[in-house]
Amino acid sequence: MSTHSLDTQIVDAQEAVRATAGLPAMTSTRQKILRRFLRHRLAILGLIILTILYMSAFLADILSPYGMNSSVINHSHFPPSQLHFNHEGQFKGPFIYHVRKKLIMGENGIPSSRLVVDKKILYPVQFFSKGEDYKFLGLVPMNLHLFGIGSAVNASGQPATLLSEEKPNRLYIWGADIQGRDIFTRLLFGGRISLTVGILAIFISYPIGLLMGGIAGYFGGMVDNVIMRVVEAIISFPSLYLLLTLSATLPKGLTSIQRYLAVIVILSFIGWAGQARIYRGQVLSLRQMEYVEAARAVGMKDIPIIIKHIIPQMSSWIIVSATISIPAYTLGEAALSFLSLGIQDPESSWGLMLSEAKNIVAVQQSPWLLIPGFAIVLTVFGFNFFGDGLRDAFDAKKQV
Amino acid sequence: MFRYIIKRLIQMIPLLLIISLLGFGIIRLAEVFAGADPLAQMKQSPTVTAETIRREKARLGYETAHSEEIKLAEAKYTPTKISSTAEVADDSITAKLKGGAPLTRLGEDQKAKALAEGEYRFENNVYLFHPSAVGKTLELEYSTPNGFFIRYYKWMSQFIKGDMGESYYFKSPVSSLILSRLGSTLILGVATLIVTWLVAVPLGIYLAVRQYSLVDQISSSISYFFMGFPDFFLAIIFLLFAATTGWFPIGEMQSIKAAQSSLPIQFLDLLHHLVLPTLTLSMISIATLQRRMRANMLDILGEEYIKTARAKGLPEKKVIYKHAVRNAINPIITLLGFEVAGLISGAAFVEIIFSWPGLGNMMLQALLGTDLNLVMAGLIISTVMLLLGNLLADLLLAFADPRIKLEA
Repeated sequence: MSTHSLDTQIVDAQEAVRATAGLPAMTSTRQKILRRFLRHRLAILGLIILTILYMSAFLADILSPYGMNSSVINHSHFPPSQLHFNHEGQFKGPFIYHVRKKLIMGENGIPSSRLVVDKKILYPVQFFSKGEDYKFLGLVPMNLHLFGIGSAVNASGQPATLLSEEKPNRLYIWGADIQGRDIFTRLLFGGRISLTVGILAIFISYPIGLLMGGIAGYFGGMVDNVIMRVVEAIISFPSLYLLLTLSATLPKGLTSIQRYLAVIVILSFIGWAGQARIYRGQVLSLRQMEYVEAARAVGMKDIPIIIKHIIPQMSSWIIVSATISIPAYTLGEAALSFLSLGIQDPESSWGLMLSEAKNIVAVQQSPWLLIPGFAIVLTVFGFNFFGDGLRDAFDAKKQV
Repeated sequence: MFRYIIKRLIQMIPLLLIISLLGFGIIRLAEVFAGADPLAQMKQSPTVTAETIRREKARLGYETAHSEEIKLAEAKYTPTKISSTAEVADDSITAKLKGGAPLTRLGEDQKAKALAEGEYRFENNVYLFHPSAVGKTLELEYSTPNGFFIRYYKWMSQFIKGDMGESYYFKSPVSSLILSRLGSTLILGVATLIVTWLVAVPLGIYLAVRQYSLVDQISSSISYFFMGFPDFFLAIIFLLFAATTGWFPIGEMQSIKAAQSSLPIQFLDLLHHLVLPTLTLSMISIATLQRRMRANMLDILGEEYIKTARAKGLPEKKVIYKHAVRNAINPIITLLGFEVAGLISGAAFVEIIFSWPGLGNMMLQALLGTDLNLVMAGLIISTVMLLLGNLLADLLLAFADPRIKLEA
């Protein structure tokens, strides 16, 4: 949709001037692409957003103060912790006050819980603290966390005693979910699923779509007809309905990883068709090219021609369109998990976390339940910005 | 025109065939992988008779019923392979001597007594008869399981006739259920279409005329934002808005109070319920449509005949509304078909979150309740609706633009 940005035009114009002046081109194609990309401000923003998101998912174990499923029973929907620096006018460094949940009998006899801040008990915030044990990426045993809170102390720094049967507070920067798990922590771990689904799905759907589209366009005739009818059928289904129906094929007793992979396969099953259709059209025109004729003339077989000569010709287009289509897969996973048909507890994914927000009363009382939704939005925008920039940089539209 | 429609409808047939095959195949996969049994709830229900289950099995094409008559050559009959075509499970066979009562399984002491009294018994999957039965005719009824394509054929032939089976989850026939749900979805869809078009088309025109103005830039940023915004998240935010302000109902299509009042009040109540779901859906469509309209309008405004119109001194209003808009709007009409299509699918989430009693909502409930009859019908009917929507758009376009000739 978007036309070339002004910056892109400037780069092109500079090159054109050099060319007419008879000077050698200042830059190679690759450098030109890179420069066009770097001048696209939104694309850089997208790249930064995505880098932060992926890095934080990668380092989830270290960045998060707690384990993915570490929960405190009594801390259901606990609000975000308030960070303080001064206690009674005295600078104490970052700390949080002890917050106590109190049951209060309402006038109508329905008990509700109130939160009471106890300013006598403090928890200092610690950086690079030792916390829960974990295995980094499932391999390296560690217990280092970027931040966390120490044990309860009183104003003079002596260990404080809590009420009996009271659990120490935890640091919830974005509150707790219904099971008393830290939302910030689960968001980081959820990113590992939500951010990788799209990329993995592309690695399944693109090869299938490209090969099918390539075969259909290259051979034409009956093969083309059959493949394209199936493609049309898949595209004709309302996508969400197809997604829902396909999720019915997931067996009940799947492990987390199997479920994750199954979701990817489902998304790819829907996704390959659109790719095949676009790709077929392009192969139809490419197969008339002389170099394809030449390859055929020297006796190359059809499938190798498709793989070795036609697909590489489209590589930049493939990269660009793959990037642009990632958000659709991310949203697909979010949709499935949101409807409790995709990723399931105790695993974490943004769609699954957001499904708690279906209970509108809970959201009213605990608006932080909406945070996973913003993470999804951020990812979609990151990819959109980045993809737009890539498209302009590769000038993919002109090339194809 | 008529011939074109007929041709398009005929072209749709192979597509529908593949669609139904795929749909049926997915459900088969669900049965094999997930062990989802379409009859599970039926079998558990105490009020459902064996006869109903058998009929349902026949409709779904699970098995074909057979009957056969065999002359008893000896007092023993072993029913392993009854017909040469298929292996039959022993317990699916009912047998009786011609004119007699069906053979049933008896308790130990009853068996001995039965045989002594000149009747029969059934033991270790073998029918034992009194010697006097030799020479008499044994009537057998059994059923053989069907393969995929026979099952598909049987199910499809009933489906076309409108027999889509019974929904166990909603306890009503699937066809009538889908019909009523389709109505709700269409109400939401049409409302969204109207709002989208009423806003997006004028907005696109306005922004094209004032290209690069502040309003144009702000609006294109907002559009960009909404185009990337996930619909379910937007729906939740709107629902939260409704719950917090109390200005709008939080879901459903009708309030209980209004359901008992007069028609105008019912209508107003419906509109009240429509506001937020429609707004959610429109926001996203307006963003896309407005951008298209703006781009088309800009293309047209650069045409020679617009320059001519201006040059001959036509007032700017006339140039824009009479010459530019009429031409710019045509390509947009093609989008209408995709809009209709998108609304059926896109509305599903909004329906679910606003508990709007539409098709999408029904699909989710059917899925969670493993009501496969309903899932299958919902998938196929919605797809058919979508294809018809596309056809409608093509017809509209031909109607609006005399330059387009539909070739039969």
